[in-house]
Amino acid sequence: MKLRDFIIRRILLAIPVVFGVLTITWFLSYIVGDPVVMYITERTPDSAIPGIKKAHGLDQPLPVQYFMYISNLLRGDWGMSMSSARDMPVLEVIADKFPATIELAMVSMVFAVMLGIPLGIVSATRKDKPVDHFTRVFSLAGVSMPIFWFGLMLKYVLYFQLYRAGLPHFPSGDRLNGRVFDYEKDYRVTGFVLFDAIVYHQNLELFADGLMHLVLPGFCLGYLTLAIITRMMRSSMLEVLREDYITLAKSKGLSERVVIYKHALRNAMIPTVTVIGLAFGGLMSGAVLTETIYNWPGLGRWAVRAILNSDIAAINGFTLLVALIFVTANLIVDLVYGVLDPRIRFG
Amino acid sequence: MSDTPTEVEMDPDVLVKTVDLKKHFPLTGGVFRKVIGRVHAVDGVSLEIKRGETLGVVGESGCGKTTLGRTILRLLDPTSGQIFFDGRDITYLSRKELQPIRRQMGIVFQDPMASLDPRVTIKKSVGEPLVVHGIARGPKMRAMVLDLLQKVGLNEDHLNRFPHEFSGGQRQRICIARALALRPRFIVMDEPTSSTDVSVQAQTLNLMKDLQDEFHLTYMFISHNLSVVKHMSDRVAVMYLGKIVELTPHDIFRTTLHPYTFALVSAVPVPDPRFAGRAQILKGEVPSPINPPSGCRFHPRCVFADERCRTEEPQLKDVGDGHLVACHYAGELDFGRSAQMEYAQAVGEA
Amino acid sequence: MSELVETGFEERVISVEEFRKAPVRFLRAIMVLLSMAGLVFGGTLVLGYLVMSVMGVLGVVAEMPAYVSGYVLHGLFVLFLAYVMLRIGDLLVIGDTQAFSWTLYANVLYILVFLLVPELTVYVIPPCVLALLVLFLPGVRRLWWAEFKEDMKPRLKEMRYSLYLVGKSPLVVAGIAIIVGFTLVALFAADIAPYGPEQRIWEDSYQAPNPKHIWGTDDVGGDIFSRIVWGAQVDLRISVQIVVVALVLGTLIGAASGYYGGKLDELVMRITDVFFAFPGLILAMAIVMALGERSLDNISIALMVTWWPSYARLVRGQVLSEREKLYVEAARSVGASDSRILLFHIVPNTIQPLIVQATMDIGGVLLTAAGLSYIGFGPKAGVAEWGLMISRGQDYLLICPWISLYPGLAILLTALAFNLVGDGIRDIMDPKLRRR
Ligand SMILES: Nc1ncnc2c1ncn2[C@@H]1O[C@H](COP(=O)(O)OP(=O)(O)OP(=O)(O)O)[C@@H](O)[C@H]1O
Ligand code: SF4
Ligand SMILES: [Mg+2]
Repeated sequence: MKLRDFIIRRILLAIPVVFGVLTITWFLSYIVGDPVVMYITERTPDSAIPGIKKAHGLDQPLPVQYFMYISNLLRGDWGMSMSSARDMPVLEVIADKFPATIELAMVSMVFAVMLGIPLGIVSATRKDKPVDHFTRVFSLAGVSMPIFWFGLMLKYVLYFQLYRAGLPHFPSGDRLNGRVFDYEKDYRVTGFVLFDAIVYHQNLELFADGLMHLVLPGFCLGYLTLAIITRMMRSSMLEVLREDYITLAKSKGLSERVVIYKHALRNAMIPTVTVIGLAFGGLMSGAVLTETIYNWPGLGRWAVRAILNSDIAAINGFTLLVALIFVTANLIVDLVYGVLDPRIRFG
Repeated sequence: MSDTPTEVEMDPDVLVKTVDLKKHFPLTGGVFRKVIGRVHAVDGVSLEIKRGETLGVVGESGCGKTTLGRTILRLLDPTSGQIFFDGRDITYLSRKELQPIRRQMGIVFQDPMASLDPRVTIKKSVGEPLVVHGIARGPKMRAMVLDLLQKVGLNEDHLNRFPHEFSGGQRQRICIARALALRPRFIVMDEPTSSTDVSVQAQTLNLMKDLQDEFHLTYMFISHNLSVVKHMSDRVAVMYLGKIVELTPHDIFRTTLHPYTFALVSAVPVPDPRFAGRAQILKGEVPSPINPPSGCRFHPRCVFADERCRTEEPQLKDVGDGHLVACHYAGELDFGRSAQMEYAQAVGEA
Repeated sequence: MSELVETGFEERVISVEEFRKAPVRFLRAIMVLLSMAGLVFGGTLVLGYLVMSVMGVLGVVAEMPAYVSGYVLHGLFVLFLAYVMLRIGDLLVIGDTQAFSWTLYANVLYILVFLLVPELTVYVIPPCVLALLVLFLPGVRRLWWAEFKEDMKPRLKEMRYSLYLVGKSPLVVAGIAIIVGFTLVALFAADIAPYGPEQRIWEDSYQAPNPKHIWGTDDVGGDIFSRIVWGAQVDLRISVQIVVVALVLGTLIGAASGYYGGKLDELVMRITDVFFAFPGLILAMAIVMALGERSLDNISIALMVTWWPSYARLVRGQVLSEREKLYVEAARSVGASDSRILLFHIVPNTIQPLIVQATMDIGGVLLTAAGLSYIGFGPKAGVAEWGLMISRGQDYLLICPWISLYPGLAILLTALAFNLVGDGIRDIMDPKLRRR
């Protein structure tokens, strides 16, 4: 298949998926109860409800409601969330909390990639040596780790025990030290603490504080991704090292180093890159748990709160958003894969 | 489904016959995976295989030999044309109607490792045809399988082993045993020796000849090794891009009337310095079977091609003694006869 | 005019008439009876479940009984076995020696299945044992035993070789040991745990690990060790149950999709695409929300719904690639039917990657289920479930870390064990490495 055809086909295939996602979220919100709760809060007077129903087309037959649901979403009306401090439209809450989650996810991703790729390479080139055994157990433990428990334990050891011993310690939660910086009031520009600190305030202290606060949650969230990347890198590296052309390169007398870094690495990276893209979904799941533990003011903590408050609009919005992000990430990964590795196009 | 056998006038000596047989594979592509072309793998083949003979089929890789064999056995559904087996038209028989006919024909595939289920022991693989056709099960099946294995030179110890525990030549013989299990009359041998070394190859070929005599088998013997085909076959069909270009009862090394066959013959490496550089090497690539050339399919690579060859397709004509050639100038061309004779001798000596 | 059958591989021959003699006929009668019993019992379970769920939907009964999905599985399995027995009964008398070994398997499975149903055990097990005894009567045994032994030989050889490879890999051995250990703990929880799962000893609250409570106690005086032991029952059971149901569902759908192809395949693939658009935990969260009540059963259902697509994909891909293999065409060339090819060639070659995947997934499912329970989707407070125990401990993390520590270790260890085993058997089963 030509590259152009492949790209078009892949994008077209994403359309029914998006519709499927919309259908599922609509269906779920419908099952939970009267969908009008998405648009009202406890403070909405009963007399206003019929009007709201009408405005959102909830008095119409089901198929019409379905299209109204989609058109509402498209118009940016994602309902009212009642689990923030004050009632806010879901989309506004998302805009407010999204940067915190993304910042956390990016930091964990960077951490996972920077550590995972070298670990995978080392493990593959020293197969069945102690380093390899250690790396395998380390990465298997990452895949088997209950994130929520891991977060608690990190907090207990690296914050509480260090603190009690009077040693320098990591902060136990929040994005910044609240007694020193009021981010929302004084510093917020883009919502990304590190970015704002450097670009808008040139405030190194703010940057350092933000970074310190990212260490524990970033590690907690990134461990799973780290484990996945390490495993993938190891196995694809092993696969590539077995290929004939590598053996040939070695037999031609190229040094081990040149073989590994020049020939094998490039090819082994392809599957790893795709895993990095897919791990984004895992990060979103993990964020729900990590943010709860570290009191991180992002989407994940908001979603958990929404669930405990039966805040249907918020859950609906969150699920939808995550799914859309995930679909986009998958799409990009597939396209990149298709460009890098022509074989996939013939699938 | 027409299962009324269309009794065409058929020589009772003929076991298998095809009439203008075609098999095209659709080629999909584009955004919506539409059919954008067709691979003309087999494109109008008419041939007859007589009872008890071996018909060799040669040709370059990709010319459609395997596809022809599989289509004749109805493992693939033909695109058009007719197949007769033992006087009966089997082109449109349903799977159920084919079942009794399957007992009378078999196939040995190109790749013996891939054609044995890796998780099934040899006893069950070779015995499968017996079980499927309700001929034997249990101890009786075992006895029959053992008998077959002994015929191809294996023994009782091999019964309960898995395919990966055998050598390439042994696997090939296992496949032959399986093809023989139903006591068929016709077997398609698809490059049965391509995956083994020369000494094993010779053994296998002799085994097949012995089996042919013992069971009165008719073979369609596919290979791209001309010497092997010559050794095995009574007649040889030469395929090029889905068509038969020459079908000869003679020794193809000596009497060849088609330029393509001659080119193939001269490409066989000879350990004789006199012929270094003299062999007529085929020029250019094999054209794509998706858009085969007009007129004579061989014309882009034929040194004798002229305007007529480019536009008009030559038919397969009998030039005497049952020697069929598809070339407008069959018999009129001079490949350098004496060179050919010398060459044939050199091959013979080798 | 009796056909002669060689047997025992010496020059002994038996006539087909022997298969019609009294013992074999008696065996057949037992099989038919057992099969009837199974049909009735399995049918009752499945039908009962259907009726219950219809009444549930109509609101006649408020709540589904716990573990319903387990009942249906059990029922379906019994129905399947019963059907197989009926068929075997027919095969017995036409001289199919293979039917005897199937009789053996079917009766052993029957005994195992009915051991789980104490009320029926006494009625079903004796006929099964009787059938097994008849099978080994000298007159009957001579019809099939030699062949059976010979067929088992290569399998045992492969199995021994696998075991040898397993033994060479300390990580896999460790994984298996942990799994077996936890399974035993779950089975004998009542004997191992010093206290009950929800027992509260108020005066012992907040105790650090000590001889009386080796892993300490929680805020209401629950013994952590005992609760972890009891929790093994809950967590292992739902993880396995979820994976099994998702596996069966996914396999059926994936196999049909891969085998029939065309429109069905396209549809199934688009549906799984949609499921893959949600990260597992988040889809499960949304489904539990939609199901209304927060409970372990709803977590199970949500995770089954979330997990089947990955098996469907896997099986479909596997079926598609096996279908194109030459050995399938070879089987077709000798006249094997579609169902024979699917059952005897494609399915066995598909099962191994499936087992590997399922083993690793048990770990993943355990993590997700515990995570859901941790957020508050799980059982009501007080139930001994690992995820819930961790969430209970987090409020007291700084003063009583053991409340969370030990249940988390249990989860980590269990998940790790399944991952170790899955990872290890993938390497062991890899044909590239296996070839000697
Ligand atoms: N199932 C298929 N689908 C599409 N194209 C096919 C299929 N099988 C064969 N072809 C094409 O048909 C042509 C003939 O293939 P075939 O296998 O018959 O060649 P062959 O003469 O046996 O070659 P070889 O000597 O390499 O075995 C080739 O171009 C091949 O790519
Ligand atoms: S017909 Fe023409 S092109 Fe074809 S083989 Fe004969 S001479 Fe060559
Ligand atoms: Mg071929």
